[in-house]
Amino acid sequence: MTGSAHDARAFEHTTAAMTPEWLFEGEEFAWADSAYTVNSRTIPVHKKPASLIPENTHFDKTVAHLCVRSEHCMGALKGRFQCLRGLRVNINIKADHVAACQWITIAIILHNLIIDVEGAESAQEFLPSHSREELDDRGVAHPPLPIADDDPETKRKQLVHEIVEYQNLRQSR
Amino acid sequence: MRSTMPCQTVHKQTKCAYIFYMILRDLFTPTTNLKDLCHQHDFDMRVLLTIKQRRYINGRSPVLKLGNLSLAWEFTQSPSDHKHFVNMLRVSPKVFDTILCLIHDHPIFYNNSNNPQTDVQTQLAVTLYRMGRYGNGASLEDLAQDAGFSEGSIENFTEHCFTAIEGLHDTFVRQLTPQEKEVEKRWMDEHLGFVGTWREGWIMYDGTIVVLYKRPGLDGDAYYTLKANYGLNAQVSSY
Repeated sequence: MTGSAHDARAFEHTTAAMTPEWLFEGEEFAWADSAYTVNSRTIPVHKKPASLIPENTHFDKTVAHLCVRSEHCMGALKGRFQCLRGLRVNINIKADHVAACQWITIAIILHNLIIDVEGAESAQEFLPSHSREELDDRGVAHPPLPIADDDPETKRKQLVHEIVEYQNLRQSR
Repeated sequence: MRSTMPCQTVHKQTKCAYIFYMILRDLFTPTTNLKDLCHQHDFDMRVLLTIKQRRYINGRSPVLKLGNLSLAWEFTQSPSDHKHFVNMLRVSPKVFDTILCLIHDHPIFYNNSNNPQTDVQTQLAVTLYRMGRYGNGASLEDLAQDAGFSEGSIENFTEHCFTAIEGLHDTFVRQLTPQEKEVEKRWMDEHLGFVGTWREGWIMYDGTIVVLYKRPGLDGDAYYTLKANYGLNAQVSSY
């Protein structure tokens, strides 16, 4: 996808979004940040104004804590293979776009290979070399996308309910 | 000041210079003897033909190459130097050997010519070195100087390694097995302190912009991002 595409728009074209059955089974789903659209397989954090409701705020905070892992993953990827911070590929014909994507593919393959060989800890040392620019690319209004789902919110509501219940339980102890 | 004359090829310049010399010579020291004249003419023709047929008139000196890749092999010797190796090639010597082991049999590294390719180890090192750099440090000229190869070789090495590594795609970028999913779900249980639907969320999506170093010539506007640069949107799932 080209850079002008918003996260949600780019995501629509991934295998994970087009054929979720391939990736998930049963009740499984994925976390995402507020740029994504909610459905039973994708659970993003709330956007304003829904994010101002106290229950939702607590939910969002917990999810954000989880999502930090994926930001770390990007940080490690760009920190190790810094070619991704300024890709030197001239895009003049269609094939060049594919070539540019190949750089990203290779970096991801190697990243996974390194984690298989050395474990996730090895990536940590590359984090400081990557600035936290990732964090400010959200919160942009994007028209909700029509999704064939009875109520896309059902699962998220259930999750919010669970965390709130757990919190109450902890407080009453 | 630079000449405003249109650029002339070296061949043309040399030819013109010789013709100019012929004119001056014939003006000031004209040959009267017919035999000498024939001889002279024959010689001139041969000189002009040689200028026309010779590909490089000035001769070409090879570009000096003095790479410092051997430094990386030295760094592997003692564990205390491994951090320098990582800084240079972006992976630890152990990972380097693993990648090498996985790709060194790939047919792309072997051709049936009498002139075998540079060894796979070096090709991979150059590729990793290149992947770890951006900006002008990643320019082909700088890379060629650092690695001690020609610019063309650097391109070829990268292409070979990319083809070989792409062959590993399905081995390393794949669906998790149910056991691996269970490990992730356990992590979630421990992290949260309770067991519920939350544990089914074992994966996270996020997007990132891979910035390009300059505006693409084709559909440049489509690559323009929020942060006022040109880039590609990569969608990553992690766990």
